[in-house]
Amino acid sequence: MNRDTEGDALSPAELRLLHHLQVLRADAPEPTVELSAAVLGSVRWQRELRPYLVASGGLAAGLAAAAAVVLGAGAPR
Amino acid sequence: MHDPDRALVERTLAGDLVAFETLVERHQGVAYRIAARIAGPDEAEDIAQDAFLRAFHRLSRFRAEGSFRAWLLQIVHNTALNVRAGRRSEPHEEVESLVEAGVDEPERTPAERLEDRERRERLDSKVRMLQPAHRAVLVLRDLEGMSYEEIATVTETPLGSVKGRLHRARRELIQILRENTYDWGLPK
Repeated sequence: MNRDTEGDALSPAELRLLHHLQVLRADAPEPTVELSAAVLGSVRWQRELRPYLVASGGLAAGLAAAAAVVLGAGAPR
Repeated sequence: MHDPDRALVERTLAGDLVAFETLVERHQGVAYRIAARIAGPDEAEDIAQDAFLRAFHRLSRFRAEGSFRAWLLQIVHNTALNVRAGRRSEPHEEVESLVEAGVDEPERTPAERLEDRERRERLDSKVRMLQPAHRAVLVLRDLEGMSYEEIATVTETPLGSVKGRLHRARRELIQILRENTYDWGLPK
């Protein structure tokens, strides 16, 4: 019985499987685009837009609260 | 435990985007690989990008007692599982152009390179047939070589359950390969 890197016992079938997976591990997929450029591009525009989104969210919340007051005041008792 | 990313995280939180760019460059490879192996290569770039953006916006919630890498990969793992769960059925992986296989292996004959490539693609598609929880733990351990502790963090699973899940994942994959017409040479 063999053991893996953390000392766990492995059956012959598991050992064979790990051999196959080792081949797959060596053939790792890689991104075709530069992820960091894409991510940073999105981060920049989202950061610039954020104050406006927060402000418009606040405005919408204020309008909703005002509408609730008006509708509440006009509702039959 | 010293986290080599700690200083970059603190600089990012202070508004330094160059620091975040360094974090992305440092971890984009593993993030992409995990996304590709859990959800498939077609959506891996979108998943990795989405995970980095989520990480950026949630960075203030990152707790410094763990590693940034494990926390980020937890987001990648969850995003990939969500994408996969959102699909109606798992598409079959098409065997890509086999002719372009193994260009950098001059010692192998074209026929051998073709066979190697086909075997890798078959195995990759079999890994994607595993049930999601099994697939994730097998990818993280047997393809990415992560420790059990890191896998427990990434998958949000108790440490004691990781080994058992990995054992079941390997057993499931062995069973899938045994049922395949291709002879994988797996002893009983």
